[in-house]
Amino acid sequence: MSFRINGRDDSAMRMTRLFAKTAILGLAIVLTGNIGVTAQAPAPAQGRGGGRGAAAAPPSAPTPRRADGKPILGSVPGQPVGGWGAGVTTLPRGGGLDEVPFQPWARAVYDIRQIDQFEPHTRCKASGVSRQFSTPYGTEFVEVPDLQRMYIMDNGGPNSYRIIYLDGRSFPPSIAPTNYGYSIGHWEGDTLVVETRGLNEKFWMDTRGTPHTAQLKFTERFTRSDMNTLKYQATIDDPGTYTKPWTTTVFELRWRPGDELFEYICQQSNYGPELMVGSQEDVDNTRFFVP
Amino acid sequence: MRQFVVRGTVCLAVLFAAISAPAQHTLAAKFDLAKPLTLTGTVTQIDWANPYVHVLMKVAGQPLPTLWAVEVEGPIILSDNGWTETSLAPGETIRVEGFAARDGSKQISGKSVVMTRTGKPVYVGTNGTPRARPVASGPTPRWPDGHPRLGPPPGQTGYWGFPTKNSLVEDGVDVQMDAYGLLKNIADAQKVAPMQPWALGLYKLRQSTFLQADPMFLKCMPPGGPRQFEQPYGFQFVEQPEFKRVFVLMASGNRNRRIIYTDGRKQVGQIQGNDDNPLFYGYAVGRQDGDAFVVDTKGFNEAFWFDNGGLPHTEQLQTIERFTRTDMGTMRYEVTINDTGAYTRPWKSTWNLKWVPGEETPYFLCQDNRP
Amino acid sequence: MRLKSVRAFILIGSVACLVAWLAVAERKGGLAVTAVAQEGYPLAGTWYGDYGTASQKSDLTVVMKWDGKSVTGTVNPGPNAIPIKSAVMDITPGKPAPEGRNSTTGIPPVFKVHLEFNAPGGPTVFEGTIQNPVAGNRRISGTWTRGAERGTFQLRHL
Repeated sequence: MSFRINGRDDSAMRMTRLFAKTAILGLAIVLTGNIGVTAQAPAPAQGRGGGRGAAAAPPSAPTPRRADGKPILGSVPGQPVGGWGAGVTTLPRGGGLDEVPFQPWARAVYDIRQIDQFEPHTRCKASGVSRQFSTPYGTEFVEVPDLQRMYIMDNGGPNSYRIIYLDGRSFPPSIAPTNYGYSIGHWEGDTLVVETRGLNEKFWMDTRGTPHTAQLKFTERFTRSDMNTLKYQATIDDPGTYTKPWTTTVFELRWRPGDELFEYICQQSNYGPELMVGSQEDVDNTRFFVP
Repeated sequence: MRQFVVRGTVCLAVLFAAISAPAQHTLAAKFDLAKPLTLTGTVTQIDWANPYVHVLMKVAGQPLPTLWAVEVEGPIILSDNGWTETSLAPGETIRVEGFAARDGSKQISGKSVVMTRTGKPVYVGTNGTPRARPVASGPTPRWPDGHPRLGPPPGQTGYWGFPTKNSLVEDGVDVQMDAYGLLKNIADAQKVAPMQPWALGLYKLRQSTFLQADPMFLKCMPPGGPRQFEQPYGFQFVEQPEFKRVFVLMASGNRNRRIIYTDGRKQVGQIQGNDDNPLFYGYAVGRQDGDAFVVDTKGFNEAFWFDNGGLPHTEQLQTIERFTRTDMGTMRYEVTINDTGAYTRPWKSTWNLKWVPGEETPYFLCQDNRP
Repeated sequence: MRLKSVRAFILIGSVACLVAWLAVAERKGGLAVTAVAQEGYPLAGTWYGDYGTASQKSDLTVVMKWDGKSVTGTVNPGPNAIPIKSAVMDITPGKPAPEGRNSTTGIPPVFKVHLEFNAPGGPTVFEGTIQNPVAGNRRISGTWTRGAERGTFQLRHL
C-alpha cells in the first residue's frame, strides 16, 4: 500500500529520514551511556515532562501498607499518585553476559540484536514482563483490591496494560499466547511473587533483546523495601533458550511521586523502524497482506 | 435504605447464535466487491493474529506457484465460532471464493473457504456449537454511597461490549448502514448529522471510497472519542475512587488505556506532556449526575477518525458522554457532539452497551500482524 | 459474513446459575509453541521458497519447531510431506562492540543452516546462510545436493 511508512520512499523522504536519523543518532549516543535506552524516539507532539527526575529525591518513609498489613506497591490513598522510574534495561546486568546460561544460538541472537536493535516495543508492540520496567517514562502499578488484581501500566510503546490476578486462581490448562502473558501473583511475606506463562514470541523481555521462546515461564519478585524503593528480581525459566533457569540480580526502581500516566500513541510519529540505529534500517520488513 | 452492591445473577445462555461482528474495517475498504475471484491453493501457514487471520496458500502457476493471502475473520470471532489455529493444517488444499484486493496485491477475502479433502467449510461460519456467552441480569450494582458501579461488583469481572450501534447517527435519523458505518445509499449522507458543507463533502468522499482512508485501518491510529464505544470487542471501566479517576481499558485500538479524571481538574496539559498538546483521546473529566456518569472531553487532535463511518471532526470537538447503567447488563451511552468547526449545531447519538460477566475484554492488538 | 450485524438468540433458563466456570476466562485456540515464531529461535516457523537448477525449479515449504533441544519439522506439508531428518544451525560467533560503544561497530555472528531430508529421489542436503536472522522476514539461501544433482535454493520466513 502506498501509505506504508516502511516502504521504499522517494528522495525527499530519504532526505527527511537522513536528517531525522542524524538527530536521533545524536540523541541515542547521549542516552546510550546513561540508561541504555536508544530505541525509543520521543514522539514530537508529546514531549517529556520537566518534573520527572528534576526534583530532589522524595523524603524517606517506611513501606506503606493496607489495613491487612500487606504492602502497597502502587500509589497510596491520600497521597499524590506516583509511578516507578525505569530500572531494568537489560536482564543480564550485574552478573554479566557470560553468567547467563544461554544456549549458543541464544547468545548469538542476543549479540546480533545489539547491532540490529529492531526492538518490537518501538514498533508499537506490547512488550511483557520485565520490558514494562524499561521505559524511561515510568510505570504505574494500579492496585484494585476489590477486584483482587493489579494492573501494571507502562508509559510509552502501545500505551497498554498488563493484568496480574491476585485471587488465588490457578493457570488455565491452555493459554492463548499473548504479548503480556497470563500473570498470577501471591504474597510471600512482604514480597509479591508473580508468575507469568503464555507469553508469545512477538516482543523482547528487555531493551537489549535478551531472547526467549514461547516455552518461557517468568517469575518476578516485587518488594517495596521502603516508600521510595521497589526491589525487582526475575527468574527466567525457558528450556527453549537457556540451559537452565537463571535469576537476575536485584534491580531497584525509584518512586516518583506526582508521576501520572499520560497519553503516548506510538503510531503517531513513529519513524522508529526507519530510524533505528543498526543494520535493519534498509531491510524491507513489510508483510504483504498488511493492512 | 440505600441499595448496596447486589450480586448480579448470572445465567448461562442456552443458545447463542454464531457471532459475526465487525473487527476492524468494512470489507469494501480493502477488497473490490466488483471483482469476485475463486482460487484453489495449498495451505502453507495460518497467521493467527489480530486484526484478521490470514491463510497463506500457494496457488499453482508457472514457473512457480504464487503465494496468496486469504483474509478471514479475526482470531476472537473465529475462536467464538469454534475455530482454532489448527483447524486447517499446512498442506491441505482449499477452494476459496471471495473478492480481489483493491491494490492488486495477492490477497483474497475468504467469503467461502472449503477444505477439498473433507468438502467442509473452514474458518467461515461455525465449527460445531459456538461458545455460549454468559448473560447478565439483575439490578444495577452500586457503591456503598449508592451511585452505580461502572465496573463489576467486588470479586467479579466483566466487560462492556456489543454496542447496539456501530457508528454515529443523529438520534431520530433512520439511514441504512453496514456494521462499519458504510452507508447503503450515499444520498443519505446529509441526513446522518448536521454537517457543515465542507464536512459533508469530506464525509461523502470517505464514504464513496469505501472508508479506505481510515487511519485506523491504514496505520492503527486509535479509536478516539465515541469510536471506542462503537467497537464490539469492548472495554472495561476500572474505578479508583480513592485516586479520583476511572480507567478505560480498551480491547480496541492497540489495547490502549486512558484515564477519566474525577478530581475536577482543568482539561489542559498533561503532567508529563507539552502544555496543551491535543490528544487522540482528549482530556476527559467526569462527574456524577444522579445515576449518570457524565464525561466531558476536549482537546482532541485531528489525526484519527472519531467514528467508524468517517464523520469528520476538528480540534474544536467537545464530547459530553452520559453513561447510565440501567441494570446489571445494560449501559446506556448518550453522546453529545459539540464541534463548531465541523457541525452547524450540537447533536446527540444514543446506543446501549452490553455487560459480559465473568470475562476480560478479548485480547486485541491492532498492530499484531504488522512487522 | 462481516456485513451482518450482531444477533444473539438468548434463552434464559430458570435453573440455578453456575458461576464457577466463569472464574477463568481464556480464549481457545492457543498452542504452547506458535507456528508464527517471530522473535524466538530463528529457524522456527514456516519458510517458503524454491529450489532447483538453472533450468528447473520447484517450490518448497518447510515448517520447523524448536523444543529446546532439536528441530523437528516437515518439508512440503500435505499428501507428499517429508519429515525433516535433521536441521541444525551452525553459528560462527561474532564480536560484539564493547559495552557503551556504538553497537554498529560489532561484528555480527553468522548463522548457517544444515538441513537434511529423504526426498523420493534420495537423501537431500541443504546448506545455506540466514540473512537478517532476527528479522521477521529473514531469508535463507544456499546450495543443495542430492546424489550427483546440485543446485541453489532460497527460502523466506513467513
